[in-house]
Amino acid sequence: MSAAQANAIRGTGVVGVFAYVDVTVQALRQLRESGWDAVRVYAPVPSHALMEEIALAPTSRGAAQKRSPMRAFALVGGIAGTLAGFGLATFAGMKMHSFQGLLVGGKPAVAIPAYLIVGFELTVLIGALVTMAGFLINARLPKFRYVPGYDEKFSDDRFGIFVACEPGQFGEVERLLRAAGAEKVKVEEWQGERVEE
Amino acid sequence: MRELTYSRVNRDILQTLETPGRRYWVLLAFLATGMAWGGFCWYTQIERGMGMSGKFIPAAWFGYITSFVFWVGIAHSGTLISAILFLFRAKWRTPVYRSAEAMTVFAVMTAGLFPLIHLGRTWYFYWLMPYPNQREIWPNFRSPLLWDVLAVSTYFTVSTMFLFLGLIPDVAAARDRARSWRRKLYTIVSLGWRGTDNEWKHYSAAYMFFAAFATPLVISVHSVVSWDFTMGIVPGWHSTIFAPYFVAGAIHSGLAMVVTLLIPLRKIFRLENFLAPEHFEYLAKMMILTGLIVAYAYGIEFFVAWYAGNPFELSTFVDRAFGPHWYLFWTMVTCNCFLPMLFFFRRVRRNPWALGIIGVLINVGMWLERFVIISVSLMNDYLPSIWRKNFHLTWVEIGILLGSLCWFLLLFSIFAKLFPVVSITEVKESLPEPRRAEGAVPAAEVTS
Repeated sequence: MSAAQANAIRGTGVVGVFAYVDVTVQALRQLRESGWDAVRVYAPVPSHALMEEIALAPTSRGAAQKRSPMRAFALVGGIAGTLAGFGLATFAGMKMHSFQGLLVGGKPAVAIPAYLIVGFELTVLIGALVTMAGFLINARLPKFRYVPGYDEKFSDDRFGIFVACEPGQFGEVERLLRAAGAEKVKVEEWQGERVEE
Repeated sequence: MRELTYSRVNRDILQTLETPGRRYWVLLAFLATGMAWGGFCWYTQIERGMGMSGKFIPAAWFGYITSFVFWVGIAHSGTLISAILFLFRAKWRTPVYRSAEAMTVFAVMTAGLFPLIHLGRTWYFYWLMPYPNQREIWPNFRSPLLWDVLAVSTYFTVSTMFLFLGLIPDVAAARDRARSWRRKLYTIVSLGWRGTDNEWKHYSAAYMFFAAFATPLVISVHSVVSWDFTMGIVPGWHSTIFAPYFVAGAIHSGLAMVVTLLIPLRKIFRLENFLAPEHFEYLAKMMILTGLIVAYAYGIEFFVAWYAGNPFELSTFVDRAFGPHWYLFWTMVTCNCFLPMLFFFRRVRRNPWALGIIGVLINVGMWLERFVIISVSLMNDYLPSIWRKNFHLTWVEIGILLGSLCWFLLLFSIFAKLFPVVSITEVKESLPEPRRAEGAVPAAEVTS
């Protein structure tokens, strides 16, 4: 783990508040060009321009970072659901029919057309549950502890860039953010465990 | 919506969550009383037995099953608006979808009560769950009733998660402006959302997949509900057109309910900036479409009954339109097919009173439609000796139906005061992004 990443977790760094998307995108570009990659962006909306710019940044996870792995969760959940649905219905049918000798409704133990519905419903149910779990895992939610650099304006109409850095680098980052057009710059220093009220 | 800014959207939508006035509490008290009356009726039925409900042999599926299908149907338009129109990129859904989706969840919760009430011995409801009893007897997965349990419970779970997912960023916005207990509540519900790039990336992807899961689900749910009937060889039930017919009917009634709920909501919460007359026009145009599909289904049912040459089937349909219950049939045709055609006139589509009244009448018509299909078909069974020419809904049944309406409206009213009824995030997304080049955010609004 690099020092910058360690700081991002500890929460030492500088946050710049921006009013405009294009200025934020420009600032991200300038920061990257100056070698500041460990940034976290706050936004009130999932802005496409911002997301594309962030995707350009090299990260420890490389290109995989660009695309959300949510599709894998949805697919795996869906397939698991299909198998579970068919499996459950088949198991129950076999148990009644083959092992207990009960012929229900004069139909075969494994009645494919009827079990299609069970399979379909469980595909959707388990697929959606796993997608939800995937979202929470990947977005690292719930997160009730203090998040460095967050400002309540970020859920309103402001954009933010948090740059993780050492206390000795505050001045340089602050200058960079101001030059890039930040309307406000705040320094975040590690203050131990802080819990959101 | 041109003059809106991000900040204004936050302010205007979050003002709906302000401390409610006395009229709101009066409304809640009224609805809670209605719900309590419904609860008392249910208690009476449990205490005195199923004779208190109006059902009889051969019409053992009567008012409760009718109400069940009605409420599941109401739910459908919510998912249509939130998921299907999302995938089709229909931008007009933005201000409408949150309340439609909340309506979906509450309508499914209401629908879920009716099979339990219908059971009689409600405390054995868990026999519906797919697990074996102590003698290793499993539920029958070939039965449409079990498909129904799976479909409705899946629908409830998925639409609740979908509603919750969409709420997360909005509740975070509410949290940042709230104080005291509301702040605590919103902190928990928002799961500590901060709107970071990582959160948004996964949120957008997850939302898309939820919409993709919900789209076939909503079509499957009412299809499965319709198969509860078509799988039985009852004249008037046993038909292959039931699935599309029921889905269209469900969306028809659901759209009518969305309109009925949104008109007062827009007025009370002063949401004129977000819910423009055009949005109601779109909903009305969709009701023309679903009304026409429903009208076609009514017509084709008669054609098939005649063309198939099955005397039992034909007798049921002749009885439906010209028999002792003709007035139910023709009321339903008027409400569901003829009244929505008034929406061809722009003046009607843009008139909130006309929209609201037609919306309520469509829902009356849709309840009657289910009653005609389910109960009137059963009353005209194969055995003429048990035909019933008259029936009456008991006070218990009517009380439970009205109680369910109050419970639905109560849940919706509480939701509307606790959570944003218009999606803050999606309305913001529909606005042009604030760019310095265009100066979309006035300098005066820049705060330190």
